[in-house]
Amino acid sequence: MATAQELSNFLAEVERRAYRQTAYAVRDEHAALDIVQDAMLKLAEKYGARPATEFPMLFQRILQNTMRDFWRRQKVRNLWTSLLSSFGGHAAEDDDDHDPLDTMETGQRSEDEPEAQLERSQTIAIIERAIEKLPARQREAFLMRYWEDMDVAETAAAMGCSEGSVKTHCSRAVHALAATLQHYGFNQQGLKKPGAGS
Amino acid sequence: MNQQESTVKLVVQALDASVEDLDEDLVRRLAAARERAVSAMQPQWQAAGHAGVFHQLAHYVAHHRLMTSAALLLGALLLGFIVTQHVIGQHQLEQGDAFLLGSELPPEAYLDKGFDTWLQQNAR
Repeated sequence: MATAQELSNFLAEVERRAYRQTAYAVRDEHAALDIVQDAMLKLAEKYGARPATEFPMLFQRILQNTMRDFWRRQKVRNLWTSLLSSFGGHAAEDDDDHDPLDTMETGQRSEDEPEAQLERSQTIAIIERAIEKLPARQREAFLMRYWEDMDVAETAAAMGCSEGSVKTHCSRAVHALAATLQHYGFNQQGLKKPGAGS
Repeated sequence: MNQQESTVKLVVQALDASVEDLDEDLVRRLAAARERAVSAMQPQWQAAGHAGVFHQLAHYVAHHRLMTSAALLLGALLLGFIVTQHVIGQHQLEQGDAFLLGSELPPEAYLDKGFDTWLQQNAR
């Protein structure tokens, strides 16, 4: 059985990555924070008695399920919104083509900061957008497998799918990311970008 | 390192860097959420059977240091008192044994109920 200190240490280690991971998925920073908070509480309340070694897999599973709950609620909300708006005229039509990525904050720094800092933040923003554009299952598999450093079996257990599916999702995600990076002219040497292409 | 590995490495580097750049307020809110979650874990201990007793005790000690210190001090004083009494009692016993062995009468004489009567009669 894990102690409170072990749970606290685990959460402190993963909370920021969990937040980012969720933000990539739901593309809403406030919702991402709520989801991570919910996942932390659920882990503590329902699985606090489990050994600390099981926390990574359990937490990821809870996080993914909480995200799915969020999407379900969003779907219902959007359905009602579209029904109501169809009665209320076409005022919202202009927003139909709106892509949240166009206006999403990229984390870029102000112009007066050093150039290197700006390049770095631009690089991060490009990669974050590439991550966001991945299909949900590929993104989940990639982040758990490579960022959370979970093995294939743990990732499969957290995603509720087979190990083969995890490998497939990861492989496709890596190929898609590699194509995006090549498109932007990254030289695969690290975070120093040689100068973005188009 | 092949292209796939280098892609993974680069992306993971960028993701790690993005975590470092998180807003301070957000980091504080995450820490507060963590503390709430950890405090929500406590009822779990009560349902966890015998293993939970030790965790509860550890938690009590961690959160009631003054009470625990006072209890420990009281326990130490009590233990000291018992040990002192034991040592003093032992010393008195040794003195009693020495008195019996050093006297002219054999120790059995003191256990004889008619000895006092015989002594008084002889003294007259």
